[in-house]
Amino acid sequence: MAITGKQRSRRIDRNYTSSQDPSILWKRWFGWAGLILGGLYGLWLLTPSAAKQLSTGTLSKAHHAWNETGCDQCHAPWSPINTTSFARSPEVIADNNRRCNDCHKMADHYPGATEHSLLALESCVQCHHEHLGINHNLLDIADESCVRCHADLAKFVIDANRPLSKVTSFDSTNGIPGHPHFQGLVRDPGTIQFSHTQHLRPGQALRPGDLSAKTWDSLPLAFQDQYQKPKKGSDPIQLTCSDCHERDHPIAGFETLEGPNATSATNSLGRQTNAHVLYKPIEFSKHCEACHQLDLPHKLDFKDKNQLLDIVATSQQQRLARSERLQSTSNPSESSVDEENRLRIAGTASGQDLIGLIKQNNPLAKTEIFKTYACSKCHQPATDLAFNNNLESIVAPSSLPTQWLKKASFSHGPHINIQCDECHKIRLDSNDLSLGNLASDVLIDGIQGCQKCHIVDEAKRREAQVDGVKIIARADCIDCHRYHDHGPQGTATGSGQTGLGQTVTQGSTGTASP
Amino acid sequence: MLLARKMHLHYGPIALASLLIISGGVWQYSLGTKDSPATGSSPAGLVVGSIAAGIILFELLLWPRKRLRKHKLGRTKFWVAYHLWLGLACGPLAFIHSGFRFGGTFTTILMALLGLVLTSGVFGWVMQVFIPRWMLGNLPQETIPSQIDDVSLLSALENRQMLTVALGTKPPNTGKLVALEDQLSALKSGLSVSSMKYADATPGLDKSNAIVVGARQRRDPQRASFGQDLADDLNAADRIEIWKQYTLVIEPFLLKNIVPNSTRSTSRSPIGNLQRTQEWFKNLQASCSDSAYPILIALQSTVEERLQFDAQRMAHAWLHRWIAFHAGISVMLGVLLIVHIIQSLRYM
Repeated sequence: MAITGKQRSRRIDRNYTSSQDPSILWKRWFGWAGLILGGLYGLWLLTPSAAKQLSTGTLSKAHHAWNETGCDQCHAPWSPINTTSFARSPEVIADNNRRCNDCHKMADHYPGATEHSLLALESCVQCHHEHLGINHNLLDIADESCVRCHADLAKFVIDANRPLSKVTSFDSTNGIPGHPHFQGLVRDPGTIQFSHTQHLRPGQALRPGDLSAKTWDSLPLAFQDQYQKPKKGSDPIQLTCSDCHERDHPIAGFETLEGPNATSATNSLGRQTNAHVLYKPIEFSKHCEACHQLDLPHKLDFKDKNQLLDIVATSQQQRLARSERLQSTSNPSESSVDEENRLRIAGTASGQDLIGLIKQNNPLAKTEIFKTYACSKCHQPATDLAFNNNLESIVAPSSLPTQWLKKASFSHGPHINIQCDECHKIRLDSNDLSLGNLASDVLIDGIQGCQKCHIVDEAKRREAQVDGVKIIARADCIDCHRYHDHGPQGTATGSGQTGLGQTVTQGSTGTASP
Repeated sequence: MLLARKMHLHYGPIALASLLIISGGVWQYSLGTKDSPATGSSPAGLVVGSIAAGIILFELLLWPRKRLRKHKLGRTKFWVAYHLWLGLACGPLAFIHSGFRFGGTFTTILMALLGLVLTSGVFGWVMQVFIPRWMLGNLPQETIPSQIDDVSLLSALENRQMLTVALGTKPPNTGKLVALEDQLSALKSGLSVSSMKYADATPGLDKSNAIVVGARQRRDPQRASFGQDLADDLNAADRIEIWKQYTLVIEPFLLKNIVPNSTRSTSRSPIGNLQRTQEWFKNLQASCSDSAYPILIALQSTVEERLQFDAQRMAHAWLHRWIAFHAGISVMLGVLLIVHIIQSLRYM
């Protein structure tokens, strides 16, 4: 009993379109509901109480409290805080930077060398990105932040004629040179004569197999506990790096290695950090005297002449006594005062009356002391030693840097799992004593030594893994360098502190001088 | 149906344009670095975000465009094509604009709304591709959805008339017919039918206002005639049985959702689906003489038509109800997008 389409159509009221389909009504109602709900929510968003809703992401821990207090703490309304935005201007950036500087007194980046107009366009948020979650590290600065300028510094510095390195990466990639050689290692400022090679040989022998090796038994009793005893006391003593080099701070997590009272370095928040874990200066009395005993105190006071006379006279008497004992065993005879003076004078390096020179305030006295008491074994004489009687020290400053990489903040802390000789190369089988004959020789091959493990390029990383390199690390600029950390005292606008609350000290803090 | 007829010819260029826009967005984003990530406020992010916002606002133009369709603002199929493909491109672009982050609460809500809009839109797209095809093949009795109840009511009235002619007046012991005065009044008042011609078969009808409505008008005389021919052949038992089954089973099913208190749910009705219907009528035919066969076939046809109307009503709901949700959250997204633009410029 099928019916045709025409029959079917005739069952429909011609005015059916005047009736409302429920789906159309629902659409209309939902549309209005969306409009009203969206409008109400939008209006509420314009009120201060809704500030948290507008945040584009949770603030990091440092600024977390401001998640609740609104945007105006950091943002100036209608002023783009992002330096890449289309409406940036030096005034707007300066205003935004001022809001950061209200709390963070940070130094500018080489204000004396950088083009001021370009420096004015540098914003804090250019490197420190916020709204990336509570666990985002604001100090995790991308290399691009540095490379942006350092790829071609000539555009950014005032004196474009000065030699400038173009740095795009730590290691060279695709023919583009990487980080330049460490300038801090180019010139050795140290003056202490010292051979790491000799001192790390068994018994500190001059050459391999030398029979005059120092044994543990030959050490004074007071120093024996300081060094590890070999199997037999008559065996040559073997020094290790840590016998002389002590960390300035224990490495966080390894405090027990340094003793019960050791406390690791802390940052400005009081948290343990491995930043700037360096090594203390070498102390003669602690690290050298066990083997190198002096007739004079290591640090002589030249201000008090009488005390100096007493010390020198006593030391000459002791020398004479030792020589008399030697003579008495070979040629026992009584020595007169004249003979004693003769021997005393003969005992000096130049055959001069040292006591007399001191009494006369003769500048040659200091030269004579320097020569007679074997200061020259390790030290170089002070400048004008022979002419200037007012010198407080007869030796040149040791000038051993505590921080070799002066423009970086190298720390031994993260390298605790690496043996010293992985980076500090010593050829113990060499007969060449000139190798490493300065205490200041850090024995670093240069940046190539670092680039063995610190690899940026992915392809090179894979190659290194294939080659069996077990430790491969990143090499971000921020790992060693600090944007705000470019001087011991900072600039007029900053405190010179790094982001970790550490102040870098530079200068000569080498071994003590007599 | 609009979406199924060689629309790829129209969609191709638009889809290609959408892909180009997305590719451009990805390229823009790839220019971002860790130092200067392509977030919403970066130049790349701003460009991509502006394109995405433009698309969203364009999508919303579908609403005013419908209101202003008398002005002939482009062909509908092109509007739909642009709406679909540009809308699809909008999602990836917004995600690129955000730097692949959801950000804070407000931006997360925006992204969630956009996701819902896209999801509901894609759902509707799929529905509008497949359901019309299915209806074309499975619902030959399809009618205008808003007229389903009216046509069903007319079918019930026609059946009463046919049975009255063929079987005579309903015997008193065969149940009670549902009173349809209210429904007929509603029909007369303009819902679908202004008047009926079956006043003699249905109490309460105003005979003077009756007009011919639909195909039944032509078919019913035939039914009446074959009913008249059958009248003498049918025995009393058949008459009683058919009237009884019509009163108790068939008419309540035809008038469900139309007449209050007479609705018999589909699940409990013995003719609730096609299989049960065929089985039920087979049994009814077996209990009646062969002379009743044409009448039973006519009744079965009416029931099957009603079953198709039910299926059509369900398909219609799947086909159109999502639009309300889609439109509602789209409007909300549009409003919040404007707030987002203002606040972003304020705290960029």
